[in-house]
Amino acid sequence: MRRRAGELLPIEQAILAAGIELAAGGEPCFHGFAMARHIRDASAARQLTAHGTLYKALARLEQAGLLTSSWEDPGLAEAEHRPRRRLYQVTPSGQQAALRSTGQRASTAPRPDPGLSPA
Amino acid sequence: MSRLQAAAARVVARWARLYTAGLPAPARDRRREEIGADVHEQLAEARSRHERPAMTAAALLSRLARGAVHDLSWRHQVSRPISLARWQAWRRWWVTGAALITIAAFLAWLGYGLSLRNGADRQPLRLAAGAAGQLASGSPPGSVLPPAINMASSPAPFIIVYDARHHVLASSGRLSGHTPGLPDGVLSWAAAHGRDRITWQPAPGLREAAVIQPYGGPQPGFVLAAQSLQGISGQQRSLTWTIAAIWLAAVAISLLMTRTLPARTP
Repeated sequence: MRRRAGELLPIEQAILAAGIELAAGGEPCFHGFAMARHIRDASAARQLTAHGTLYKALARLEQAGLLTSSWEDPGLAEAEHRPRRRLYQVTPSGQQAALRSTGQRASTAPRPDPGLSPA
Repeated sequence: MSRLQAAAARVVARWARLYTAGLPAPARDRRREEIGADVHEQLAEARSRHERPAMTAAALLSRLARGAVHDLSWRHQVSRPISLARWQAWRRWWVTGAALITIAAFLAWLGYGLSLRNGADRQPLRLAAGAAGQLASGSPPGSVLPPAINMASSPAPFIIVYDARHHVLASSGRLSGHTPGLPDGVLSWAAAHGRDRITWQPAPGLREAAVIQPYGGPQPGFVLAAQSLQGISGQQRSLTWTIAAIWLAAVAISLLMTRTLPARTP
């Protein structure tokens, strides 16, 4: 999909908004599945975001400096008998981009999508 | 985990292995681990929600199917710089290899071709030297000739004897019943520089390895001894084809070998 520089795709807007919401709720870091689940629940969707769509968008946002990521402590994953998670965090640039994107949407759409709005 | 869920999880993992295959290790391993963790979390959530196994399996496969295009486009983005670097390294090696092979093939063709051509002069050289010695010691021109031949049909050697004014004194080589004339300047050059070796074409398609040997004595002149290059031409043609085939095979092999060069990551 072609888009203007700085313009966010709906999935990217949703990820940033969800990341900001999770951070506001006391979870500054999120992993891929937690993000998919949050987007599903927030938008009352029936399905989780597809793997390819989600992780490609996360990679793109990270490359753009709107997210940072790091592996969690392997000891923690081992203690819980599960694979380690890649943890993402919205950067200040990501927060600004999300706000700008919300402002643009608000100016062009009279009814914002509550599931994708930052807290 | 039910068999259905396990099977769906395996399909998702195999798909991730497939579309990340050949990518740089950091990107490949990260994506596989993230997908593995994601599937694990989804199965754990399904257990906690008491979701039917068939529904969980269908959800997993649905996530795979809906995102497959993005998986492939992500792969394309990650692999593009690697492919470019690999192509550049590969092209550099292949061009160098192909140039070396081409030079070697040309030198082999030239060296062996010259050796074939020089080999054709051996008998005319021997005949010319013998005849010149006899003529210098006073033998009559007709006595030094081998049996007469038709140059158009016989590959046998022949001799032509000239006087100092370039007139034919005797000849065993005939073409359409006559002794063919030499190109201008050939005998003059031999008079000035001594023995000469040339490729003589007395008629279209007829090539002769010829040696012109000046001789002295009471009546000085020139001896031309020659032999058809027909056999040599055939050998040169087959040499050209053989070396061309070897060159082509070597270039093709170098192309295949350079494709196995390790990738250079940018």
